[in-house]
Amino acid sequence: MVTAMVMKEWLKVRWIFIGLAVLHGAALLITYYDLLNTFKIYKANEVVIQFITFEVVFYSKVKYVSLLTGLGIGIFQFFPELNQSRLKLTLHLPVKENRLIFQMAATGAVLIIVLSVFDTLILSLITLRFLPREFFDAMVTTTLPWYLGSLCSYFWVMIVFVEPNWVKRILMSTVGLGIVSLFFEGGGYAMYALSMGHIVLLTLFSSVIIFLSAFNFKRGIW
Amino acid sequence: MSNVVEIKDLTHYYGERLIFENLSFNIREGSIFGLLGKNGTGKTTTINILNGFLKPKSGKCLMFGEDSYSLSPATKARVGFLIEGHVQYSFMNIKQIEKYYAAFYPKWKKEAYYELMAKLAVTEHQKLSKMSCGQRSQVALGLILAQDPDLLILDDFSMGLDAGYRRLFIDYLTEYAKAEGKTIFITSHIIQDLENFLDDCIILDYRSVLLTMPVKEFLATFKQFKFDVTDPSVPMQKDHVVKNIEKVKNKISVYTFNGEEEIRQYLTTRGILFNGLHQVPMSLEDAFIGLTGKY
Amino acid sequence: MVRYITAIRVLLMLIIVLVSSVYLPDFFWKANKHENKKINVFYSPILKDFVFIKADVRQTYYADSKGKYYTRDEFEPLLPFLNFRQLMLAGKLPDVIDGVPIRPKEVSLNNINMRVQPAIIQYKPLQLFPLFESASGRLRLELPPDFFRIRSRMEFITSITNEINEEKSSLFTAALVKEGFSFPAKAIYGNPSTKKPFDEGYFVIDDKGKVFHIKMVKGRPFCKDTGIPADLDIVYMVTTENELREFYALAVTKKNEVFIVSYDKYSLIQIPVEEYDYKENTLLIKGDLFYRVITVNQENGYHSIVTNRKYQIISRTGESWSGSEATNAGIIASCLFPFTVQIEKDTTPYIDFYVQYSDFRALFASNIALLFAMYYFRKKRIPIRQAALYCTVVILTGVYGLIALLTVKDFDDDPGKS
Repeated sequence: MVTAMVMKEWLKVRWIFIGLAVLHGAALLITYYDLLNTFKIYKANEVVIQFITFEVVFYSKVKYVSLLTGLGIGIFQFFPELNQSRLKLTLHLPVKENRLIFQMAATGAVLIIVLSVFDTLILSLITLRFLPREFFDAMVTTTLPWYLGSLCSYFWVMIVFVEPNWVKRILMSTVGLGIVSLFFEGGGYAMYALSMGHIVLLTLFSSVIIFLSAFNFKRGIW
Repeated sequence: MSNVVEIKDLTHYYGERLIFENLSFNIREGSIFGLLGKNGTGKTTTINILNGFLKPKSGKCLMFGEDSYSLSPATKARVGFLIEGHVQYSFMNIKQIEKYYAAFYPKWKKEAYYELMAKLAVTEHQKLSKMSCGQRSQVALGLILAQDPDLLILDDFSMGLDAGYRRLFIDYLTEYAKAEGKTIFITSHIIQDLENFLDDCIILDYRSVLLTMPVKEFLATFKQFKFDVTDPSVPMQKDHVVKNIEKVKNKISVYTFNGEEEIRQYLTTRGILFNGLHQVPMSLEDAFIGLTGKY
Repeated sequence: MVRYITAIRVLLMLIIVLVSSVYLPDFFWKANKHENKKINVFYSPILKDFVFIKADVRQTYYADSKGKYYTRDEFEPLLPFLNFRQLMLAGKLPDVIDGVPIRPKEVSLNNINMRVQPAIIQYKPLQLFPLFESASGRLRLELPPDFFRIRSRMEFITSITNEINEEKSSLFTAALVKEGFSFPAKAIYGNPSTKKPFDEGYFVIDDKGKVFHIKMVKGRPFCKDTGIPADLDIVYMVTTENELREFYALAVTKKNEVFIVSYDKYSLIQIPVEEYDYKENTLLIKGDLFYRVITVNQENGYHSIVTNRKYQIISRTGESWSGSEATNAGIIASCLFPFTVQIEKDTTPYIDFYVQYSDFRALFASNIALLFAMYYFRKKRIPIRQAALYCTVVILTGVYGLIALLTVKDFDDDPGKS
């Protein structure tokens, strides 16, 4: 049953997922070549001191691609469900509704995590290839909020799409926008070092709200 | 015989707007039940409540003895559901969608589905989105037949279908209904299709129920009489005898559950001069329009 | 369908409360911009009194402590050390002040300026530093090819290869071990810049809190235990390479004390600071040929002390003014918002949820919000027992809670009711 559900979700998002994977790949490739060229043009120690002094986030492309990932997967996964109330088909299946909702959300979340892990792996290789381990540490703490933001934006797309009432959809979009913006503030290294726990909680809390939207969907518009 | 569906005192509002009040009816096991009514009388609302996609303001809706709003998975497996417009996962192909649903239903009858698919000029790898509306309806039907449910809920199966597919659909359903204990709950806006198909029906009007009875009884007791009047301005109103009146110049049709003699008496006591009173045979559709009116 | 739907609704309300408490006050203050006063405090050797430069968007004002205003041309001669170049150009630099002959070179040498900001104290950027050659014999400092870290040992990573220079690392580690250094380093302070006249290396606090001075002299390690007591609890050091060569660094302690680490055997001289809180305030030290002006800038005021070169207090001044909370907008905000959440603050570089509570005045809006909420539930015919939890959120979070309530909206149909 889980396999079937995952297959259904995968069919909806495979093209956007592949598209996003290509985008992530391209962003990382550009990041790599930009860094490579920087080290070709300038003296290595000059580059390092610049990076230290100005906290150059040379992988900032990943930030925007991450945000796009959560939104993209969410929209492609849930637009077909919202369209003609297809979600009814899913919820009519002989499985507990919350389990079905969880499976759908988990599938999308896993795909986002896969891309985030991919980014982290490649960025680790790039960072450690050119720079001391301190930069790797900084990279991990700098990018983690983006990946969490990506997950969070995905959850909020789901919350908005599953919610049946249009007025509430607009209100929840506003709330979602506000929440997701909180993950992409600041421009230096490890800006969220002290608040990592808070934003992890915020992501978890957001994921729980999905069940309220599903509840509202099932209850119908009054 | 027991009831598969029991609806009692169901009332629903959208905001302040009353959809229906104290709606009550039962669906017998093994019967084919039609929910008829013009647009906006609450057909889809009823279906949504029945399927647990709407929580009614008050009243009870039981399906196999369970509250329809919180059906157990086991009961859901016994209910086949066709969404208005045969909505299915259009991003899947014929094979994928079968495999998908098969995973959820232990009693899945793959053959029933592929038997129906064989009749369509489609390939296994054709996506639903690339099919005609008629073909898609057959896919949706095939999936329900393969699920082999005890109760089938069909929301406006005729939507967007031409006569051939509508006939095909009904033929299959008739076959399915013959199987033991199968119950069908159906709505349609094309009533003529349902004439020889339905056992029982309920006819909804805005905010109220017009009638609940077996179709045969309805057709046998509900009559149309035509007659001419000399004075076209004769006053006639709906009442407990005359359910509906149609007037074209000096020709009048009345719809009633009463017999010819009673109508004669009715007209005479009201001093209406008439001649040529005769009963006109009606199809289910005629009767439906006769009861609910054209507007 | 959902057993815990009430809990999830409350959770959603709290999320909406968070979002509102971040953005609403932000919008509110954007619409009611409050201008912060900017005052620079100086001590005039001519007037023997404090003088001020106050700036707002329109204009810069020059004033003395008696409230007299000056034009720029009148003002500049009051601070001959600060403005010596301008005064020289105009031929107005006095030859002698208080019997001391004024030589431009000496004036320039004695002008110092240091600043400690709370954000810098908290901030731990990449712990990688360039160790300059401090006796290269060249005119300018040159950036070394490697950067060091001090963890389980002192390591130099050569940038071009991104590999550890084992030889150099062992050399320096051995020197540190010999001096009694306990690895790893807790903090490393220095100026990783080539734009300084010379290099004094780094002050490093070891695992036991002892302070070491590390630099590189002709390729050899120079490591010295400064003898600064570990129980001083230093939270930050600002090093300064100044031709005056009076002190290496400024040390700020956990107890908000400020010390100067002098060139004389690293001896500590405590600087008088008053009303200083390193977590909130900016510390400015301005020095010239005669005086040191030590200023603590607070959010809505400042406190300045002027000392002689031996850090004996001559005079003090200060001012505090009502902040944004005393303006009309501020009063409205206090009544309207029970609390405000900021994700960025001046006093820290980190993003977090910084909560600032209003006072009893917030009860005003909270109670109105509660009345609204109760009216809402009454209209929706939801029993008070069921609405109590949601109402609690509203009374605690005021306007935000009410917004949350009206966004979540569908409260009827709780499980277990039907």
